[in-house]
Amino acid sequence: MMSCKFEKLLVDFFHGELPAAERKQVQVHLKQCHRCRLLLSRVTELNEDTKSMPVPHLTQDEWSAIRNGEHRILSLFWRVALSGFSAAVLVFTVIVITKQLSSKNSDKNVQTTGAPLAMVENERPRISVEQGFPQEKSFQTAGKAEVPAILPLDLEHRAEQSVLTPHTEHAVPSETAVAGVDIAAGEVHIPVHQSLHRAGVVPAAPETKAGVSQPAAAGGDVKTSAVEVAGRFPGEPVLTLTYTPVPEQKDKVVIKHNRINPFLGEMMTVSMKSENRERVSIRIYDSLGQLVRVVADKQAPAGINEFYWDGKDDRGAVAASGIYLIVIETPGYRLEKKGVVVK
Amino acid sequence: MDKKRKEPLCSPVNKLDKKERELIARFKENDANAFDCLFEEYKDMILRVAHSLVGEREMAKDISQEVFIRIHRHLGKFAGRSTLRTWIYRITVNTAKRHVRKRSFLPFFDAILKRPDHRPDPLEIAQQKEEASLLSKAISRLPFNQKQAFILKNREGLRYSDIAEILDTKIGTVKTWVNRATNNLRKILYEEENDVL
Repeated sequence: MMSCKFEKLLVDFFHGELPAAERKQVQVHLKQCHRCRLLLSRVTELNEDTKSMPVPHLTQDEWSAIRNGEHRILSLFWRVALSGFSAAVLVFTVIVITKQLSSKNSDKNVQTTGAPLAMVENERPRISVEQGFPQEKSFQTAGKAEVPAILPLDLEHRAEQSVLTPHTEHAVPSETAVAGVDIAAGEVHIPVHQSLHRAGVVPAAPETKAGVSQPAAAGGDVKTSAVEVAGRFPGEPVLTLTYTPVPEQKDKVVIKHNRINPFLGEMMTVSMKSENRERVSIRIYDSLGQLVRVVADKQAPAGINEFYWDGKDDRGAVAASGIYLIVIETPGYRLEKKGVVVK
Repeated sequence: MDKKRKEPLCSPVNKLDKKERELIARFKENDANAFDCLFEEYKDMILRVAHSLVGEREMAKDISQEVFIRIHRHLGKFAGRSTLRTWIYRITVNTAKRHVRKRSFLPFFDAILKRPDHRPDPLEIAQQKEEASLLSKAISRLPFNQKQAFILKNREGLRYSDIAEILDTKIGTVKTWVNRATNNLRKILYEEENDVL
């Protein structure tokens, strides 16, 4: 139904706010227009309903409280102050939590983790080797004491494989011992391999995994990384952890194991020597120049730091076989090396 | 909002009637009864307008208290360019507007700061139910400008010129707000007629 041109005057007409001439026109029009009469009745109803809306009934005490300014426990000022204070506390808490989380995650791969184990002559450090990679354990060197270059270690091996008994200790006899070797400084190479130890059982093919080299400072920590144990080993497997001093790294960057088979758990190792704390970037590119993996992009402490590439891309998928470019950058330094993934 | 205006040395216009002038004079002389008189005179009007604009009992009480605090603070400086009633209407509407704006930021504290010993009586319960009535809900959906003009016109029965003075705007603007509010409420409340009309 079409609107009427007098509609817009009805509200003012009802409230008596129209000039006399317009008022007369509306009055004449209303006699002829049903629509406007209906609308006017609605305006009238609305006005009456609005006027009769109930008003809150307050007690004498409530009025007194308002009169004396005591209605609320706190005034509006204090309510706003309280909300501002709460917001400040919330922001502070978020900042503290964020800082704690970021300090936990920073430099994970290059700092010593785990409780250091003291090495005393004739005492075998106990290191827990867990399945999965990477994992870092450390034991404290005895400084410049004379200790065997190859130290037997007891291992408490835990595994998810059914044939391996959790929390079983395996005594590891020393394989060779060289006395009088100063291990106070230099690298320590820790190979990990396993072999059957039980008589009368046909040995399964042992899986030997290369260990990793870690720096050892005088009186400092020697790190070791656990290596993934895969396969089934009937009987009682034995894990041997030994360490051997190796010459100090002279070059800033040394690539170790630059030919790896990811399916065997092999890792390409980038050993970087830093004079000071610096930002290190290590990126892997394929033969087409496409970025495959960001191995590191973080602050590294002074000293020898090692970074590992497991042959997987950023999505966790094993990279295709082929030649890859390893680009290592620090402020004022850049090196490109090749690595190979074979399957 | 009370705009700060330069006070002329001799103001030819003083809209206060005799009663209002006496009340203000006594207030300036620190007559405690003057404020009590003013409180009794205007408390119902202030609460009614506040409640109509915000729809909540407790907030209406907040607004009423704040209005009286402001009156107490500024009455001594009131120059009389409008009537006292107009001036108090203005304070009430502006205070209600501020509370509506802050409502979304302080609901938590509004909850914890409610009087712990308050138990609603049957009348209050009935009023709370009315607060949820169709008309109240419809009015609460209006934009604040339309709402304030509609309430001052329909509930308080003020003229367009008085409302324009209270809201510090033009008469034409007030007419527009009232008309729009009326049409919007009519559409909300009489929805079934809209298809026919």
